[in-house]
Amino acid sequence: MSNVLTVEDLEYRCADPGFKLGPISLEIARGESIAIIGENQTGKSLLAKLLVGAIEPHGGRISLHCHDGKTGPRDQSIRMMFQFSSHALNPALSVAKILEEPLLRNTDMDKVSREQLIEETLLKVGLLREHAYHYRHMLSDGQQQRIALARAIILSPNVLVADEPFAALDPSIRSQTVNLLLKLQKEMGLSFVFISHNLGIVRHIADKILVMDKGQIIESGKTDTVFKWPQHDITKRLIMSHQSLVPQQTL
Amino acid sequence: MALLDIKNLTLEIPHEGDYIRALDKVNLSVNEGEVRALVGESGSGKSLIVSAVSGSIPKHWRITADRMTWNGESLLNLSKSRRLQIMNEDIAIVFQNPLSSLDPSVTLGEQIQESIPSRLVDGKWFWQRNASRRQTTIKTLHKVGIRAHGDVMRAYPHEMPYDVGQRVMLAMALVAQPKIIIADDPTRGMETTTKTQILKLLTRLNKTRSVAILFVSHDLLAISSMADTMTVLYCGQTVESGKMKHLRKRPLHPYTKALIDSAPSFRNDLPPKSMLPNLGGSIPTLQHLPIGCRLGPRCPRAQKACVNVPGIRHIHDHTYSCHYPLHRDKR
Ligand SMILES: Nc1ncnc2c1ncn2[C@@H]1O[C@H](COP(=O)(O)OP(=O)(O)OP(=O)(O)O)[C@@H](O)[C@H]1O
Ligand SMILES: Nc1ncnc2c1ncn2[C@@H]1O[C@H](COP(=O)(O)OP(=O)(O)OP(=O)(O)O)[C@@H](O)[C@H]1O
Ligand code: SF4
Ligand SMILES: [Mg+2]
Ligand SMILES: [Mg+2]
Repeated sequence: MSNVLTVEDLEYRCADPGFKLGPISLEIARGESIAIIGENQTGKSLLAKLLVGAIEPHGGRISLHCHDGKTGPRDQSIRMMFQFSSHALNPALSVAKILEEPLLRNTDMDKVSREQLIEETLLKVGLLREHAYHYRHMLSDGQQQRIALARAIILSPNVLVADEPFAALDPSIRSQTVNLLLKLQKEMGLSFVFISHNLGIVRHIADKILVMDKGQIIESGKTDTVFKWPQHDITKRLIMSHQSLVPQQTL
Repeated sequence: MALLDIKNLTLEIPHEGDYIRALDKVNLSVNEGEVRALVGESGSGKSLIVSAVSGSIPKHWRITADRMTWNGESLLNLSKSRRLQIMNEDIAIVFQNPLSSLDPSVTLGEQIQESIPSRLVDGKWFWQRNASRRQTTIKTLHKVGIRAHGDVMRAYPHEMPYDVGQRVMLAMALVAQPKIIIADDPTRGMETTTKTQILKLLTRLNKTRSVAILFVSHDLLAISSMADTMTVLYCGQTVESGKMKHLRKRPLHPYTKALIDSAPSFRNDLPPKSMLPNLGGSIPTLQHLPIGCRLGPRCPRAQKACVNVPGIRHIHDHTYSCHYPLHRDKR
C-alpha cells in the first residue's frame, strides 16, 4: 500500500521541563484511518499540531507523498481540524469568506471557480448553498463542525488530522459526522488521523490505533488486535474501563 | 418519595420584544437514593433546568411551574437565606463550565475548604479546624483522581486545564456531603480511565450513602452504566422518561431510539465502518421552533397529527409524548 505520510524520529521539547514529545516514527497509508488515544495531557494534540506543521519540531522529519509519488506543498495535502474547531472560525467572516481563504492562499483559481468549489464543498459536508451567507453565531454546534470540516477538505487534502472532532457533537449529529467522514474516505481516498476519547467510535472507524503516554507512542496496532489483546498496562486500563461501561449483553 | 420534583416547568426567555419557550412543560423527578440521567442534544435545555433548580435564572426571564419542590418545599419562591441553606446542606451542583463557576481570584484549595460545612469540621481550636479542613480537602482530591494535591490547591482556576477544573468542582460537591448531587456534564472531554473512576465514585456514594444523583450528559455509555432511570429532553420538551433498562430495550419515542442507536458500543451486530443510523437534519434554533411536536421536521414517523403537541402518556412508570410511538403497533 502506498504511504501518504512518513514520520521519522519526530521530537519536541516543551518549555515545561517535565514534558518531552518523541522520538516518534509512524507511517500513514492512503485511505487509512488512524486513531490516537491516551490519557489527558499526554501530548496527543501536540503531535497532531506537529503533523500538520502548525508547530515546528525540534528534530526529525515529516515527509508527505502526493498520489503521484512526489512530495507536494504541505498546506494542500494535509489539513487539520482543531480541538475546539468552532473557536477556530472567525465570527466576523461569512462562511463563504472562511472557505475562500485557503483557496486564495493556496491556489490561483478565479472567482467563479472558487464560488463553485465552495458550493460543492458545502453540499459535500451536508450543508446547503445558503449557508455560504451565514455567520458563525447563526449556526448550531454541529453545523459549525461541518464548516470546519469543509474548510479542511476544500483543498482535497490527502490527509486530514482532526483533534477530538466528535467530542462537542450531539449524538445524532455525531453519527451524521461519522457517516460523512466514512463517505469522504471512500470518495476521496482520504487518510484520516483523529484523536478521540470515544473508544466506541474509535473501534467503529479506525483501522489502526496509536496509544500515547508522556509524549511517547507506547503501543500501536490494528484496531481489533489492540482491543482484543492490549499489551501495555495503560492500554489495558483504557480499554478495560471502556469495556466496563459497555452493557454486558452487547459484548 | 421524590426528593426533587418538577412538574410542567416552563421557562421563557425574552427575545426581540417577545418570549421564546426554552423549556416547555418539563417534568423531572429524582427519588431518594436514585440515580437519574438527564439526556438530550446540546441546546435542549439541560443546563437551564439545572439553573432553574439552583435559582440562578436572570430576573427578567419568566419561569412558571405547577410544582418545583425540594423535599416537599417549593423552590420557586424561597427566601434568599433559605435557598442558600438548602444549596449549602442538601443540594450540590457541579456546573458544566468549571472556569466560569469558580472564583478566579481565590486558590482552588481555599475554595474547596470553604465548601466544607462547619458541622463537618473536627476540632475545637482554629488550628485543629484548619487542619481538619485541609485533610478533608486532600482526601477528596485524591478521590476525584488528583494525585498532585499540593499543586492544585495552590493554583488559581485559570491555571488548570479543563478536566482538572471539572474534578475540583466535583470535589467541592463531595465535601459538602449533600443529599443530592446534580452533575452537569461532569465527564465531557475526559479520557475513559478518569471517566470510569469518576463514575465509580458517584456510584459508590450512591450505594453506600444513598446520595441521589442527577447526571446530566449525552454520554450514553456513561449513563447506562450507572443510571437507574432516564429522562430524555428534546428542544426543551420532555419526550420520554422511565427505567433505564426499559428505555434502552424498548424506546417508545423516535428521538430516544435515535439517541440509543447513535452509540456504536450498544450494538454488537454493527460491521466496522458501516453507516450509523441517525435522524437527518439538525436541531432547530430557539428562534425557529417548529409548532407542535418539536421533533416533527426530523421525525421519520411524523404525520398530520404531529402539528399538535402530543400529550403525556403513561405505561406504568414509563412516560412518553408522541402521537405514533414505536412498538405500539406490535402490542
Ligand atoms: N504549543 C505548545 N508549546 C509547548 N508546550 C505545549 C504546547 N502544546 C502543548 N504543550 C504541552 O504538551 C503537553 C501535552 O499537551 P497536549 O495538549 O498535547 O495533551 P493532550 O494529550 O492533547 O491532552 P487532552 O486529552 O487533555 O487534550 C502539556 O503538558 C502541554 O503543556
Ligand atoms: N443566557 C441565555 N440567553 C439566551 N438564550 C440562552 C441563554 N442560556 C441558554 N440559552 C438558550 O437556551 C437553550 C438551552 O440551553 P442549555 O444551555 O440549557 O442547553 P444544554 O441542553 O445544557 O446543552 P449542552 O449539552 O450544550 O450543555 C439553548 O438554545 C441556548 O441557546
Ligand atoms: S409526535 Fe409525531 S413528530 Fe413527534 S416524535 Fe411522535 S411521530 Fe414523531
Ligand atoms: Mg488535546
Ligand atoms: Mg449544558
